[in-house]
This record gives sequence, structure tokens and C-alpha cells, in this order.
Amino acid sequence: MGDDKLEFPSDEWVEKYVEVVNSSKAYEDAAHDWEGDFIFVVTPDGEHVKEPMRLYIDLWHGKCRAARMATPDDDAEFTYEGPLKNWKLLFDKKIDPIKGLMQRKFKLGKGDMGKIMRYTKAAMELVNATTLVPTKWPDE
Amino acid sequence: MSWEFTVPPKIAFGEDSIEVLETFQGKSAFIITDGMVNSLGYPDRVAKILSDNRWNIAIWDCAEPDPKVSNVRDAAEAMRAFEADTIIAIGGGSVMDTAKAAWVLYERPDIDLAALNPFEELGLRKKARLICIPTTAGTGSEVTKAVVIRDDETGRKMATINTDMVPDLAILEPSFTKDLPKSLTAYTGMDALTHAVEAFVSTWKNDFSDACTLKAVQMVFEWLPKAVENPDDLEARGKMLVAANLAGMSFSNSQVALGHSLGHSMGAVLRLQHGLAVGMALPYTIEFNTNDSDEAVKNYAELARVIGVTLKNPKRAAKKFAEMVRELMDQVGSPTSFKAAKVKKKDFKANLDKLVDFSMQDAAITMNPRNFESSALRKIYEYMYDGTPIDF
Repeated sequence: MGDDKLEFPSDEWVEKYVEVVNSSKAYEDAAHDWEGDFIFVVTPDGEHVKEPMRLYIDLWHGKCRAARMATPDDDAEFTYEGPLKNWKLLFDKKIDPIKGLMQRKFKLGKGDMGKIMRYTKAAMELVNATTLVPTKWPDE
Repeated sequence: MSWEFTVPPKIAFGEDSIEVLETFQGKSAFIITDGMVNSLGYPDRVAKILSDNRWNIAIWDCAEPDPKVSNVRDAAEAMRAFEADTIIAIGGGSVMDTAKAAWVLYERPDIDLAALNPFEELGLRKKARLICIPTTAGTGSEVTKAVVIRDDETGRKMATINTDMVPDLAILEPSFTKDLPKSLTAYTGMDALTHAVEAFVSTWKNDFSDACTLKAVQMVFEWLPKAVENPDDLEARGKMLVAANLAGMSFSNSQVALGHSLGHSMGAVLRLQHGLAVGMALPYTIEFNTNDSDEAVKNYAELARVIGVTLKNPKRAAKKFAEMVRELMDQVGSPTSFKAAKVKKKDFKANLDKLVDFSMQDAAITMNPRNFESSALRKIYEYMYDGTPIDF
């Protein structure tokens, strides 16, 4: 089972995640008119993550139309960032993406918060999609 | 997982509690109210206490129901011209929301109200502090970090929270609610009940908010019928103020759920009074959640026990709780369907898409214990038109 897991973050993980998001009716429903791209950042923790790990996702009208490991030059409308241990909590649904911001587990480095607040259901569905990707963490 | 429970530093309650203002430090009080409340003389009672203590007073009575951003900007401008060091909101939820949002603009003119969110430290209180004196027993806004304002262009309600917006002092003066008409007493009381119940099933619930909810639910069932039946019963008025306040503390710290997403949309699209709308939605959302969430069943069953339901089967107890909410609504005259609220079928049908869209954009849906897609919301609204209990 462990061998089937995809390392997060990696191109393989992203590829599977895009597949899951694009087959999610719930996400498509909640984000049917969303237009905007994200960079998700796993911030260094001095232990398992030495340099920021960045993942680019372009979301458009309920689908993911592009995604990849981001280069340092990549830019997006929104950045959502936090340390590895909090990404694990998020994927385990121990925290939700909005409460995570309130608990200062994550921060929105860039982006219009008003726009995000109209799509909190879509954000939840993006998190729900991660549970369908078998994930191997950098500290495993 | 760490969390915080935030309430005002002081709550004064009971008859003559407005006299607490004699001990409040400041020089210039900007009173925000609406024309109706102003005509009842409550702002003058407050102004008298303050002017006897040599305060400068301004009364701004232009707050509107379901305040729009433009109305809030007008209030902030007047506040700025007066150079207030104390803002006093006297009124219902709309007045208090106007005061909170105007306070933000007064202190932070750089902020876009549409982008107001829970995550930014606003740094309020450099210019003024906020006192809230409710004239309704429902919103709980006098103790909450919540604010709801409407977009001028679309009419959509923008509901958000920010800890900085918790007022510095809440005053629960029963005599300030005695002129509230029976219908509004009922609707605002249902708003309080909906806050309490939804906070108890929210995915953000916590032990502190649960404690507030349990007492609030018990008090609403006991005292709301009495307050509606006899508007001059100051004991009932005072108890309902406390119940609404406890419910406010509860939901401010654990949030509301689907009932408010539906209700906010009903208010924005069909212009239904807020308490009427969320109250109408409440029993349907209890049934909807009960049909597919064990966690919700457990929580509703616990609330049912508080009001005397002895059924041992949790699901039956949860369903009984929904029935008892409907019975309470019937008793106090709060409509349990769109039809009963005199919404015309053609208006309902013409606006159904918008009702669903606005609900899906409401942040409270993410705290609902049962997940769903927009098609479920459409179906719930359709059941709500005729008053059919939810069976899916």
C-alpha cells in the first residue's frame, strides 16, 4: 500500500489531484463560476522542508485547467501557505481551510479575501479532493 | 486544536442597567440608531445620562434595515466629522451592524468592507470604543464579532466575523425592548434560537459555546411565548435579552450553519425579515441534517433533552426537536413556510436560482454538519414553500 502513495508535493501527486478535482461534481457545483489561480506553499520547517515547496493550480469554472510544481518565477492571484505539519492536518480534515487561517495555521500571502469568502464551499471541496489522493509526506 | 472564545469585557443587564454608562470614560459619544428607535426616546435616555456627565453627544438616526455599504459609509463620515471617542449603537441587528462596520471605516478608512474578513487584525480602538444597546432580543450582535452588510449593486448579504469588532460594553436594558411589536418579538426570538441551535451543530462548535447554547435554547422555549403574549412583561423581555445574548456568544465563537445560509439569501432576494427567514429555515435544516449526519443527530437530540424530550432513540429525538421548533413558531406567530409568509409562488419561482446561488456563496454553509450540492438547496427551498418536512 505504501508503495502506491504519491509524494507530496510532486508532479505525480499534482497529476492525480487534478484528475480527482476534475471528476468532483461537488467541486464543479460549488466553483462553477470561480476564476483564479493559486500557489500553495509548504513553508520551510527547518527539519523536513528546507526550502519552500510550491504548487501551482489554475482553477476555472469548476475545473482545474492547469497544475504543476511551481517554479520560483511562477505567480498567481492567490497564495495559501503553511508548514508541512499543518498541511497534514488539513488533508486529514482535522482543520478546514478557513478555520486554518483563523487559527494562524495558514496564511493567505496574496489575494482578495472577499473573493475567497464567497467560495468557502469550493475551498472545502478542494480539501475533500486531497483525501482521494494517496499521499506520502516528506517526513515519512 | 487551539481555539479562542471572545466576548465583551462587560455585559450590564437588568432593569436600569443603562446607568452603567455613568461609569464609562469618554468625552464625545456618537449615537447610531434608526428613525423608529429615535422616536421612541431611547437615545434621549442615554444622551441624558451622558450629558449629565458632561459628554458631547451626537445622534445619527439614519441607519437602515439590512444596511448597505453606502449607508455605512455615511455613518462613518458623520462619525469622522464629530470626532467621536465612543460609538453607541441603540437598535436592532441592522443598527448594531451599521455601527460596527462604520467603526471599522472610521478607524481604518483604507479597508474595503467587501474584503472584511476574520483573519486581518483591524487595530480598532485607536479612536473610539463601541457600546451596544439592543432594542430587540435576537441578533446578539451586542456581544458578537459578526457583521452583515449588503452590497449596493447586487444586494447580496456579506456576512463575516472579526474579533476586533466585539463591542467593549453590552447593555441589556429590558425596557428598551418593550415597544417591539409582537411579530418582531417573535421573529427576533427565532433568530436567537437559530443562532443557538446552529452553533451547537456547527463543525466549529466548542465546549464554551455549547454551554451558552444549552441555556439559551431552554430560555427561548420558556420565555419567548411569554414575551410575545405580554409585551409589557419586563421579566420576559429581560430573559429574552439574556437568551439572545447567550446565543450570540455561542454563535460568535462557533459560527452558524445552513439555516443562516438559506436565511441570508431569503433576506437579500425576497426581502424577508432576518429572524423570520432564518427561523423559517431552521426546522427544515434540522430535518435535512438529521437525515444524513450522525453527529448532527446526537447534537439535536441533546437539545431536545434540554426542553424535556425523553425519547431514547437519538434520531427520533432529533426529529421531535424539529417538530417542537415548528410548534414554538406556530405559538408565537412566526411563519413556517414561504406560503405562510405570503411570498407569491411566481416571485418564489422567479427568484429560486438567485436564492440558491446566494446561499452557495454564504460562508456559513461550510460549517454545516452535512455536506451537499446546490441541487439539495434548491430542493429544500421547494419543500419550504409549502411547508413540507424534509424527507431526503
